[in-house]
Formats: sequence, structure tokens, C-alpha cells
Amino acid sequence: MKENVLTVSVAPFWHSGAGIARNSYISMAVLLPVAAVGVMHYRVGALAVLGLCIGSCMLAEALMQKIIGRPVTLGDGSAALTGMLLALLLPAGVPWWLVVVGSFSAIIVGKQIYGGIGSHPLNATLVGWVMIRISWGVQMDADVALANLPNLSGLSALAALRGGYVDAVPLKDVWMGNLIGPIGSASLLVLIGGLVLLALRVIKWEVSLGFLGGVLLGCVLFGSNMLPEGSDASVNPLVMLFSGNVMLGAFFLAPDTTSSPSQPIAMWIYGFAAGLLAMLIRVYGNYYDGGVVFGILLVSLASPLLDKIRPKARGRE
Amino acid sequence: MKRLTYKTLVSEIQELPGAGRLVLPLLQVGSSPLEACVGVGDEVARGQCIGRADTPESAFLHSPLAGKVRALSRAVTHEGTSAGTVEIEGDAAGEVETLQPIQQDAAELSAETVRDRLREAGVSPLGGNGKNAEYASLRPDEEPPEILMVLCADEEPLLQTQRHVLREAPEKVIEGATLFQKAVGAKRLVFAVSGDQTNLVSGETLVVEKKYPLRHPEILMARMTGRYRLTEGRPRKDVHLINAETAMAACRAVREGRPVLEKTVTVGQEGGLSVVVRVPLGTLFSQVFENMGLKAEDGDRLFTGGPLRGVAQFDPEGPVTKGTDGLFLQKGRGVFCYEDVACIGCGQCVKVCPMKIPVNMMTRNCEFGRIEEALDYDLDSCIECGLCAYVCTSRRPLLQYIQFAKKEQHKAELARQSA
Repeated sequence: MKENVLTVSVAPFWHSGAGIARNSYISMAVLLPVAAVGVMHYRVGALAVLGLCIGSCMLAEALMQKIIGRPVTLGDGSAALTGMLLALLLPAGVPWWLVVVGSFSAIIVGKQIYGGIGSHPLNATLVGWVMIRISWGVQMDADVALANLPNLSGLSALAALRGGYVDAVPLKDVWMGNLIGPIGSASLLVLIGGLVLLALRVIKWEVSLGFLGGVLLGCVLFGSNMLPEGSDASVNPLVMLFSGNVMLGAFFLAPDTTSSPSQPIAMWIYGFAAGLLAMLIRVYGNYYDGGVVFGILLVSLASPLLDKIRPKARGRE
Repeated sequence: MKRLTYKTLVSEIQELPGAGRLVLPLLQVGSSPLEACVGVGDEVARGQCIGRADTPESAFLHSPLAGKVRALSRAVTHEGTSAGTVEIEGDAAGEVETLQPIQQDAAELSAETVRDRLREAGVSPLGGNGKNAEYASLRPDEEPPEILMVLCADEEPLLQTQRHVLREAPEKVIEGATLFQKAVGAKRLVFAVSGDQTNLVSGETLVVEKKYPLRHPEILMARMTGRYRLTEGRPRKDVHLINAETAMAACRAVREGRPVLEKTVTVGQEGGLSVVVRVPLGTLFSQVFENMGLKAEDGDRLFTGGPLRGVAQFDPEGPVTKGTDGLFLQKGRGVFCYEDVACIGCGQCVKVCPMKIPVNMMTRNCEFGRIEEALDYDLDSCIECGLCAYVCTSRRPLLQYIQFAKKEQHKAELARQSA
């Protein structure tokens, strides 16, 4: 009689169904409408950046994993998600080589040299963005990058606020990304996507809410300082909340699993600090367009330290 | 996490008389390894003692069928340790050979009388998948606990064994619990029952909650006393545990003189129907399944115990023992497998841990045998409920890492003591 060959494994034999691939693909799916609005505004310019970004991120991941001799994990979608997020942070019309440099920096410098997903201390997307923003500031300026695309004029939301043109940034245009800016400017859609992620428990909601809280507090405390001196206009906090990638930051960048803490209190502090720092940089800093990015990156450095704030385990009185 | 709640009762307990080949391991929870007291070719009666040990905590083993001893050999038990086995072929014909029934009131009996009777009748902890060291011990030199808790509910979802036993014979469970209390000398007796069965027991009760892991013995004991094992040490002095089936067996051993010959088991196929059956000890898994019209095929997973803390079996010809509470089959397509990948720090395990352990950091250290660091992250608080592995986004085998680290820690401790 032939013997059965059974599957043997350790317990538990049930699983909730959570997975890295599931999280990546859900995140990308809810970002699709945002990308679609970007493509509607900037046509092929946005499409090219999106495609090139996702493609080169995946290429960088595969190449690097081959070189290191690790299994190629393109299937988990994390490289593609990094590419998509990076593209949404870039203005349409940036030169192709800038996109490639940014993507390779994100995946190789931001992620793979530390050992890939799970090991990188900083959010890979943000590392890539910062690299090209600091190195090629002019090309990354939305106003410049978009100059050769037709039918667009004006200032990006944050530049307008800095100049004191409060009336140039009506809330409904900020919501739908009608002002010039990065491809992922349709922040109302980002918010809706983010809420879907919260409902599906894909992201750390404590970080997201903490981040929004930090941004709001910054807004209330010193938001109006963003306007030029002597201006007696006031800034609508909602405009601040929906402009300059705050929503992307709150729901897609700050809760990055690896670079954010995991303890409840630590997550709140992390999100809150990142939001507040983002506002400080936006209002007072030189890289005001990257307030959210720099805010999150800097607080990520403190993430391992924050994770030390944890409750006593049961039984350990 | 709807799956992690306990279901309502399905049916009556079905008797499965069984006949043919039985395999009886000579190792059981709480006892030292037994010596076979029959030889190959011997005729055995139903209820005849076939394995015994002289240590005071060891319960004897009896032949569930009348027949012939076919072989004495060694095998790996379904709890994963190697043990001697007795193989018997026979049928359920004839009367069960019983001991002299004892009819005096529990109050009039001495602890020693009850203890000896329980030992001779083979009442060792039933259920718990052979790994729960919190069960009450019959050692006479052990300090009596404050409380004896009778768990009349099942630890894990899918399992229905204990609740069925309570429903079938509540008066025997209560009587047996009283006798067991006498044997271990506990001051208080507490029944842990599910909300729909509180009317079946009398005296002090603790209503258990609906959601896993709130019926985990460690959590129930902590609910009772306010203290976890970590502060209390092992063995615990404040509370000991038996389950409903053990109590019923104790009642029958004393009042009817009947040794433990059967085990009640919840049997089922994942996603399908489950039933509760009573089978002779030593019945092979394949036979139990066959009775339900099920068969383990290549690629399927067969496990004893519950879906979160059970043990996967490599051999469908393994036997039901006193520790088997559940027996389940997962068909090949639905079998979930772990991956050897890095933790991505999603924090789900930290959120779900009932003991508030920083599971992400702890298991990273466990994985590479960094025991000291794992202990800094509260390895010793862990009750091995398995929820962290259930929710893990990376699908890491977290429970295995934890069990591995605990074993390494134990080994290191032994080495330190002998040095």
C-alpha cells in the first residue's frame, strides 16, 4: 500500500489572509483614481512619468536582488508601489533621466542596500525624492517642469500661499488637483483612498491620524506665518491640509510599515511629530514644497527609539 | 476575525465502538514513561491493565478492547516524542473489567484513596493535545493549590469536545470534580463554563468569553487569581486545572471502577461539518476519518488539537491518545503555508498580542537564537496562543520561532544547572 504524503507544518493552521502583496496591490488600486486625475490634467506627460517610475523601480529591485543573490520579489508589489508613490510626488514633464535616477536611488539607496523590505530605516520613496529634489532643484520645480506643457499657468498651491495670493488657491481646486503641482495632487481622492486602507486595516491608522493632528496643530499655531509679512489674510486650515502632499503623507508615506514604529503610543507620537515638523518646514523652511517629505524622513530616524515606549507585558509586575 | 469565535454545539456525541488494530503509546501527560505489563501474543481482556509505572504521578494504561497483543514497539507519538507502544488487535466484545466501585461520600474518603484509584484507573489529564503542563498533578508531595479549575469549555475554535461532555453528563462532571478536588486538596472548586451552559453546573462558576484566546487556560487562570504564570512560577501554587472530561473520567473511576478506555474527539474537515465522537484509545486517525467518509490524501494537512495551537501529523495511521481533543483535515487546496521572509514591521502582531509583548522585536531575536535579547522583549510572558502568526503580514512562522527560543532557553538553563 502506498503511503500518504501529508503536508506538515507548524501551528497555527489558519491565517487571517493578510499579506505584503495584498497590501501593496490594495494601496496601488486606491491610488489609481489619483493617478487618473493626474493623467487627465497633464496627459501623456504624467503617463510617461508614472510608467517610467514604476518600471525603473521594478527594474532596480530585480537587478539589485539578482546582484546580491537574493530571491527576486517583484511579485509582492512593494517596488511597484514605491514607484507609483514616487511618480505621484513628481511633477509631470520632468526629464526622463531624473525619473530614472530617482527610482534607482529609491530602490537601491533607500531599500535594497539595507537588505530589502523590512530592513530599511527610511521610507524608500522619500529617499528617492529627496535625492533628486536636492540635486536638481530647478528641474523638480513644478512651475518649471510644467512650462513646456500646454494650457497650464499659475503657481503651485504652496508657492501661491508663500506669495500671499490666498485667493489663488480656492479649496475646490486644491481638492481636485486643478492647480499645478505634482501628479498626485488630487488630495480629496487620496483621502478617500486612505480611508479605504484604514477600513481594510492595511496601514497603521494611529500614524495617519497623528500626522493629520500634527499638521492641524501646526496650522493653527503658525500657519498664517506662511504668508508674506504684513499680509492680513488668513489661511484656511483645510487648504493647508489638502495641499502639498499632506494626504499622501498621512496615508501612504508616513505609515510605511518598516520605517515607522509599531507600539501604539509610539505610533501616535511618530505621526504627530512628523506632521508638526512637516508644517514647520513648509512655513519656515527653504524646501517648503517638501515639508511633508522631510518631516517624515527626519522623524523616521527616531522610530527605533520611539518603539522603546511600550507597555509592560502581562505578568511582568 | 469572525473565525476566531467559538461556534455553537453541533450534535450529540456519537459512540464509535471500533474494532481491529489499536496502537497505544506508553507515554501520557503528567506520567513518567510506562512499562508494558503484557507480552506479545498475550490475550487481553477489555479494561485489563497493559502499562504501568511505579512513580506516584503516573496513571496506568488499559486495553480498550478484548483481543491479542500483536506487537510491542516504539513510535513517534502525535505530540512529537518517541515512546514505546503496545499494539492490540481485537473487538469490543465482553464486559469491561472494572475495579471495585467506591461509594462513600467524597468528604469521608481520604485524599490518598481517591488518588490511588485515579492512578489505577488511568485518569491522567485528558485533552490539551498532550502539552499543557498546567494540569493538576496527582503527586502526593505537591503543595495543594488554592483553586481547582474545571474547564468545561474548549480552548480553541472548532473544538467542541468539553462542552459536549458537560452537556452529556453534568452530574458526573460535578461529582468527578469534587472527587478530584479531594485528591489534590484544593480549597475552592471553580467551573469555567460558556455562557449557554451555566445552568448545568453548581457552585462557583466563571463564565468564559466567546473569543479566542480568552479561553486559553493561562488567561482563565489569570482572570481567576489576577496573576500570570510568570509571576507565580511553575508549577503554579494558586490554581490548577482539569477539564470536564477528566472530571467525568474521575467520577466513573471512583463510582463505577471503570478505567479510562475512550476519548471524546471533535472530528471534522475544514469548511465542512464536524462531529463529536467517542472512540477507543489507540484508534487510528484514518479509521476515525473513514467513519465520517473522509480520507486524508496527498498534500492534505491533518492536525490534532485546534487550528491555532494544534500539531500537524505526518502519519494518517497515528493513534488517538488521552491528549487528543480534536482531529481535523484540511484539504490540499486550502492549506496555508508559511514563508521564510523578513519581518516588515507592520505591527499587527503587537496589536493582537493578549500579553502585550513587542512580538515583532521578540521574534526577530528568537529566529536567530538570541535568547537574552528575546527575554528582554518578554519572551517568558508568551502563552503561545498563536495569534501573532495568524495575523502576520509577512506570513512568518512566529509561533515556531517562539517555541524554538523557549526550547533553547530551557536547554541553556539545564546546561547551567549541570555545570
